[in-house]
Amino acid sequence: MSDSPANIEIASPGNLLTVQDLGRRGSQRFGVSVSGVLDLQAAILANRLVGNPTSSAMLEATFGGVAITFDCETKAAITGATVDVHIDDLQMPIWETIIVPAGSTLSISIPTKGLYSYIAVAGGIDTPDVLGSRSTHLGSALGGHEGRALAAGDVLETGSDSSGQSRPRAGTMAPRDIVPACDDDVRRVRVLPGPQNGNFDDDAQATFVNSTFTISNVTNRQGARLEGPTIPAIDGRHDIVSDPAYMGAVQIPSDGQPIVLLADRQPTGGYAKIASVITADLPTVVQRPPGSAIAFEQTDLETAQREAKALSEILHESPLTEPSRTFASNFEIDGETYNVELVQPSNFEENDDVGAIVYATMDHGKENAVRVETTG
Amino acid sequence: MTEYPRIVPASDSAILVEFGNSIDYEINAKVYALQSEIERSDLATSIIEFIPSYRSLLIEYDNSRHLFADLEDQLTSIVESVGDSEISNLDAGSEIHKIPVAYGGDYGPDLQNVADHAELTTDEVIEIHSGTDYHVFMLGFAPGFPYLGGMDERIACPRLATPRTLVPAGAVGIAESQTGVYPNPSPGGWQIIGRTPIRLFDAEADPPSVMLPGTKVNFVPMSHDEFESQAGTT
Repeated sequence: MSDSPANIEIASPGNLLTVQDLGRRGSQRFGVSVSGVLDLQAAILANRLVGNPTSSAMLEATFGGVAITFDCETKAAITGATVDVHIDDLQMPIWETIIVPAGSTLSISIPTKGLYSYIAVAGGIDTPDVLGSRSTHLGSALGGHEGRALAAGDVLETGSDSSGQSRPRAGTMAPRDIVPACDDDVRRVRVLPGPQNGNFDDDAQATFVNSTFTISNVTNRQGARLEGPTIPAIDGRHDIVSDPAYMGAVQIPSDGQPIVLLADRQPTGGYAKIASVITADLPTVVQRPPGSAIAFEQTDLETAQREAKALSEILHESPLTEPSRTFASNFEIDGETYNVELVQPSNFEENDDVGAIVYATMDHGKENAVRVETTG
Repeated sequence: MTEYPRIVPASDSAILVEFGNSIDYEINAKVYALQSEIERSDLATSIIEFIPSYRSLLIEYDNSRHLFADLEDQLTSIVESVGDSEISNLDAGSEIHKIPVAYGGDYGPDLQNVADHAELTTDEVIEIHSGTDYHVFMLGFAPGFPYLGGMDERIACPRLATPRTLVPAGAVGIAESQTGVYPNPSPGGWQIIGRTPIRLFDAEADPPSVMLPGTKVNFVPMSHDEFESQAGTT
């Protein structure tokens, strides 16, 4: 399979589809938001599964409903929320390297769990570099595809990003020790004290950690807005002199309802921050859809930093899982023997009366996706 | 009472250094002094980025490589040296950036409001507004949006009762005792007294913002004809 650029056309953008990478760093001092992927864990693994550097741009879908048509055979991986993925009418696995055949349409259902899906393609999504990043910031119309959300009919080109090693074979799966953040929907979210936790008395801080909040319908890429008991500030000190903001900061505006600041946050803000979500628990916050419950518990800095380091090691260094369903075969044409290795996707079903995709590698040559029809 | 300077681990990947809790030139100057001291030190390579604000500096670092405990000692000594230093001559040597502004008329539809509120003529408002050097305390809120300090209280004016749905890029406004410029078209409730043809934020430029945090700017009146000819060429 070649690495030449493919054109991918958005047939349906779903609720919200944007180009994102790890974010725009170094320009917050000029008022520029970081933006970038929300679920870092899912995004890093999507890039690794297609053999991209972790910094490559990909598509982030909010609440699924996406369809994308590929003009060339392309390696891809879908991670994040639990969704049904199809290539045309054939069901494909998530958290796994797949090959999308030329001319076919990749579709992603509405999630049964979680909120954000990541669609990485070999070579990355090639939109212009704006201040060091391809991430879309909707609020300031910077980056991505014309600074905006993708719409039906938009065509994007894939790039030539490579991790420097050969791309994982189709059928390769995420490391076994990864737990998708959307499957972690019961545990309390751990927080550290925020820089203005002194603006809240002991009762208010106890209310914050002892209550269950609901993620509101107006939650977006800028912040997860929570509904629950009111958190009062001492003498109404919700407003502060505008101060730096950061990912995971829990600010309490004057209505007393917490907002967890996310990727599209403004670099500075004027509300007191009672707490900060630890790095390791950020994916579980972002993957909880509106209407779901969230509760917090205090932890300490040492624990938070130990967990951040451990998660980063798993994400970047844990080996991907080799394809498990491989078969060697050979056949003869005109007296010549050809060796072929077949790999089945992990969700391959023998009795599927629609057919299935298998990946074939001829004589250690290039991989191809082959549609096989089951003969019953 | 809180003791300043204060070093707070704001999160597991960011440290906040606070020099005070008010909008004050000397406090703000220490924020920028700290940023440049850190940029010159061994710590620089451990840092992802800085967010300077009125009174504090946020230092974001890669927590897969560094622990707070590893950075704390060196940071503390830099913070103490900056905290103890006398910052008497703020922005010494830095140029005052001049921003041309067409005041009044279609460019500044609220100039008369501000004049009426101040019980001054529109010319007097222009004279006062353009006769002051403003300190860029910080940029934030939106790309290139400056938080300026130093406006003369005589021309302070409440916000519009009903915000406009669209304020054009370059609009110069007053809200209470603050003045500022909208770098990009946006909704807004400030009293608009003029407009600059200068493009304040350009992602292709280096640096992307005309106004730089920690520096000074000055507004220079221009005629409406000059605005038209300059806007036509930019």
